[in-house]
Amino acid sequence: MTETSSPETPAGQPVLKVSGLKVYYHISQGIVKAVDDIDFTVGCGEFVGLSGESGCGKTTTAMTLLHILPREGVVEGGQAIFGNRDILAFDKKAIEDFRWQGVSMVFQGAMNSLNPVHRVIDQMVDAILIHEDVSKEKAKEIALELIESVGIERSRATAYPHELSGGMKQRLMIALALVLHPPLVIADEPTTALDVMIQAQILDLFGQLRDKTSLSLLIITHDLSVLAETCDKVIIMYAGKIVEEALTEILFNEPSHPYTRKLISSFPSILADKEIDFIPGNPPDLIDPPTGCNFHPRCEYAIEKCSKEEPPLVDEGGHRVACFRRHEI
Amino acid sequence: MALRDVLLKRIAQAIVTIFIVLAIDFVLFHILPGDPMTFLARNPNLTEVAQERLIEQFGLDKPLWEQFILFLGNFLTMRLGMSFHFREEVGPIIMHHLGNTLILVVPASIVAIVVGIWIGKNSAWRRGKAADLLGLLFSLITYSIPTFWLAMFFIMFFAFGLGWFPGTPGLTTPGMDFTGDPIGLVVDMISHLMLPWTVLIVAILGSFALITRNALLDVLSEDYMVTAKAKGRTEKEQLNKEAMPNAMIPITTVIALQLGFSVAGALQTEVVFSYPGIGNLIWEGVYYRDYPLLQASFFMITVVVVFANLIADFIYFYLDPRIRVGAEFTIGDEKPPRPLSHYGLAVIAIVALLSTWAVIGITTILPLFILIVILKRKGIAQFLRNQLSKIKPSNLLYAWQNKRSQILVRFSVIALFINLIALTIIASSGVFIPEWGFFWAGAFFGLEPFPPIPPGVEYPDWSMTLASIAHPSVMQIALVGVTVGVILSRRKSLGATSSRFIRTRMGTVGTATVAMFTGMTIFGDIIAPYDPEAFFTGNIYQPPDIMPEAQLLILSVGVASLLGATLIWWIFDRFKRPGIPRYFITILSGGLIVYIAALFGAQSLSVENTTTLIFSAAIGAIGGVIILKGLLSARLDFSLQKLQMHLPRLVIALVGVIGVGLIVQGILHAPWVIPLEFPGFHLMGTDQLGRDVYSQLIIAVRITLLVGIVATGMSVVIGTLIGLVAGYFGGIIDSFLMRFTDIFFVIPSLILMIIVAAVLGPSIVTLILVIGLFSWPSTARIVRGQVLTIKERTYIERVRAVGGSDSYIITKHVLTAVAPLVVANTILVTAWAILSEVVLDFFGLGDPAMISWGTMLYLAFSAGSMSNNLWWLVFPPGVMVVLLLLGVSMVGYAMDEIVNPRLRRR
Repeated sequence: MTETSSPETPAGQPVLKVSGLKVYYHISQGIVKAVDDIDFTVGCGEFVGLSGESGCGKTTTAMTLLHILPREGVVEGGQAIFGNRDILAFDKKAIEDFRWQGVSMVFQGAMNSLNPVHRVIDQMVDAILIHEDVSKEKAKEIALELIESVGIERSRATAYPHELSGGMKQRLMIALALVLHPPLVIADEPTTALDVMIQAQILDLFGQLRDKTSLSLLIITHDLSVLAETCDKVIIMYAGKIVEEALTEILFNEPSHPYTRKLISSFPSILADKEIDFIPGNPPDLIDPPTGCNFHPRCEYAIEKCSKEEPPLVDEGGHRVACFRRHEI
Repeated sequence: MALRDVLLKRIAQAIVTIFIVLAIDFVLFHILPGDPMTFLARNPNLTEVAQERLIEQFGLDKPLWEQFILFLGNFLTMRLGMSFHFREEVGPIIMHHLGNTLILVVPASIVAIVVGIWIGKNSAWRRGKAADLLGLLFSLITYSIPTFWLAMFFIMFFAFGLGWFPGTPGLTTPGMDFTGDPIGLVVDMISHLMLPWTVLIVAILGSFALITRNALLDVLSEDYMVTAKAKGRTEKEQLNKEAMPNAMIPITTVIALQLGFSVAGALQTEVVFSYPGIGNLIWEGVYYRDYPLLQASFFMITVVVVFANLIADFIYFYLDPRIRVGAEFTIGDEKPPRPLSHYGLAVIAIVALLSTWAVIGITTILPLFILIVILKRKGIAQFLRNQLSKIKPSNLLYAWQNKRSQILVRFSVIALFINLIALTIIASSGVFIPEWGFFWAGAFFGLEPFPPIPPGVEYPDWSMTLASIAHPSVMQIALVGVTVGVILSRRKSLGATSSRFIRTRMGTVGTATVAMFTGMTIFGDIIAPYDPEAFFTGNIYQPPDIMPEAQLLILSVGVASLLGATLIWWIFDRFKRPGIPRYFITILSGGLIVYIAALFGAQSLSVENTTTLIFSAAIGAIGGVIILKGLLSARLDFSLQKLQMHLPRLVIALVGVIGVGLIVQGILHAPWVIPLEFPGFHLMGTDQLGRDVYSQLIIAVRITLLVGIVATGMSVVIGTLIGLVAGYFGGIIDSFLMRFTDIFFVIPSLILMIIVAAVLGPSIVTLILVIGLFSWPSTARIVRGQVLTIKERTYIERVRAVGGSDSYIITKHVLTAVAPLVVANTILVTAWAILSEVVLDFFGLGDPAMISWGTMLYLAFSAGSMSNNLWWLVFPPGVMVVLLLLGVSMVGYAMDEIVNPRLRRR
């Protein structure tokens, strides 16, 4: 295996530093502020979880980093510093080189993310050959090793996607994402739509990766239990904004933002015989978001200030919360 | 399913197709009205002995089933009968011509497929950009050009005009001897082939490009394309290495299914170039009514097409690893066996379909109908009860208070029912002459009287009452009532869709074009300066006169101001000046409509035509409503300051509107200059009988539109029904109906149409029937695909769970969900039907008494206008056809972009 530690990233520095990112969708009904001014970092070797309701901008954030937004999506501002360079400022050629080599991605619904007319191994070899100047045999060897390391027999490598089960496809998708050893992998809903046994396999695979490599991972999911299992740090988004960010233990034990609290308490648990809570109302219309805090119409702690001013994301010892009443509630 | 099994299945299917083709061929000449003996043997051209031999060979004096067996035996051993015209065995003649046709079709198809795929690929990849628009426009134009007309144009321009290619017909220069000079022969052949090849390539290119574009758009929205992009593939690689291999799978199937279309194109090309191929043979067969020749040609062409299809299938299986590498998973559980009555229904459907194409008529349909009624009696009773309960006073009161349009729909439906019941009684009692159905259908389109009263026949009084209840105008009124009611009840969503539609560029242009032709249909009588059927209004073959200066001035000022205004408007748009408020545009377009209506009204007054006067008044009223609407919305946000800001635009728009008005005025008045003098003024010259071409051109649109729309109606109803039933019920019904559809796809429908029309004799009803009966497969396929996805939705499960019957689910949920797609498809089918009509006319199968563009071109072709350079007979009708088809297909495509769920952008 070729050992590619990213030369661009100095040790101790974050792999990715996103600041002031704004992504708007320009559709016929208006402008959807899908991601509105968010900042976060992903440290080297760190596993970061990104969570929130459907439509809160998680996947948009991820797609922005690879420049694979649908054509209505426009980056309106912000930076994403990777190494020393701003990904968002890359031109077409630079981004083509950067994709998969700098950041790779495990897609939502990996079932359909493998091309049905190419063999799995060929799809991996292609990814290597696009970016690295190695012989085809060498590339094949690299791919085969990876396939083995995600727990799939070498003999299955020449299969077409339709001959594989859902779990195998998902694991191969992860292998495909790792094939160039990028410093950062984004996993978009890696376990959604998989049954619990396969979810466990995938999570186990992530655990191994974390132990054996220096890989950084950004996991996007609305399944909080996956985050609790795998991540160092969790970011909660709501309506295009970050509302809370904290180390996993802190976030789950002492959530500070009312939304996070609701989110956690609305999650069923098989062990505790707790009441399942829910959040009243609907997520806001992002074309015409509410004034002040986006969450205030649904928040049971809202005061008048919440509907007028936007709460800043205040950092207190690494625990960032965007709420005026974080200490009162 | 292993690859071998699939291949075997396909081969079996091909054999079934050939069998069905043979059956159709048999039915055409044995069961359709007419005597098979006169069709196939008794012809004065043949000697008595030869006739007897034919009767003996095909057993024409034996019972039908025996004839069928003899027929199969003869055709499968290539004994195809005797040609009346050539007085020879048909087999060798056809084989000889078939070779020539292949020389023409195969290279042209290959080039067209390659170029078409390239165009479609680039179009889809740059969707919505200029390149896409260009590609789409090019494809639509080539698709809209009738092939035979393109061929005539090419001959006139390149062979006779520029002299680049030999103008002599055929494959080689006649009278030249090439023995011992193979190179000279090849060169001569190629010089003769260049033009036909080019024509054929251009003619079929467009459809291949459109197919590719559609297939690729599907693929581009798949998840793995995002993966490919994220992997860092360059755009070119994404397209060529990831998308195309996937898109090629559907492309090969559809292209294979479209081979019949290429054959139809080749046919027309051959006829115009007098190229000694099958197409020319069919032309001669139609001309001399040489039925054995037609019968055998149809059989042979279809065999070739089926064979080509089989090859395409093999390519398809090779391309798709999901079939090549086996392991086809069936997702979901096995379905429980269906109750027996479903199989009964399937059998009924099969027999009904078979009888539809065979046009066997009332004798089989009636028992079938009774059988269906018995099988489905409970459902029918419930349905009737439901319908009746809808007109209970309490329900009506509720409807009046809440949804008034419903009342209109309900009473119209009742009227429709009573009308249908009366029709059924007439059908089963046989009180009128046997051909009453034709008269009824004719009366529906205003062509024939109903009831038919042949001289010397007295009908009882009750039958006359019945006839007035069953009168087509009752059905017309009821149908209009239902349509208006449905439109009114959905005005909001329909309004939103239509405003989205009109805002697309293609939608605007298409609607304007179609509106122009609609105007021509309505106001034809006052636009046309001469009676189009009047002979010798001028000298024969009189070339077009030059337009009088005054009119020319008006027209050119109009065109110039319109173009100038459009250009400046466009520049304003480019520089992103503040967008003009919508009500401006609404009021302006309303004003334009009123203005045009006023022009037509004045013209109607001056020629004293009441009908067109009423129409102008109606159109003026619509324009008035639009203006009123604009004014109402203007009141909401009106300010003088705003008006000042938009003043330049307002002026430009006014100039544009005046330009349009001037053009209309010019068109209306130019040809009327000195119409009474002989030889008179003829804007577009006269034809071989001294008839005014311009007037014919205007009036001809009626027949074309009538045939196009009615045939479309028929084919869409058949297609939607088949698609609905197949998609909804699934299982063997589905596989049977879809195989059946595939077979109809494969059979070159144009040839079938030509032969059926030739057997039935030229008339407008024949045209409508054949086009309507053979154009439905595409609708059936599209509807089925959509129904399949809809019926899996959870809300359908819910309706079923609360106890909704199949018919309820189909009508209330599935049909409504499919409707938008059907509408978009209908418009594209209309284009196809119009094209078919023009081609059938060109083959001399149109009603000779009725002027249509196709007939005009047929007469022009027969009069040798290509070599005599009578361009005014050739160009105007062709240009009109292309314009109309282009408008119709643009409307269809714009609609498709909006309503087709596949095409919604991700």
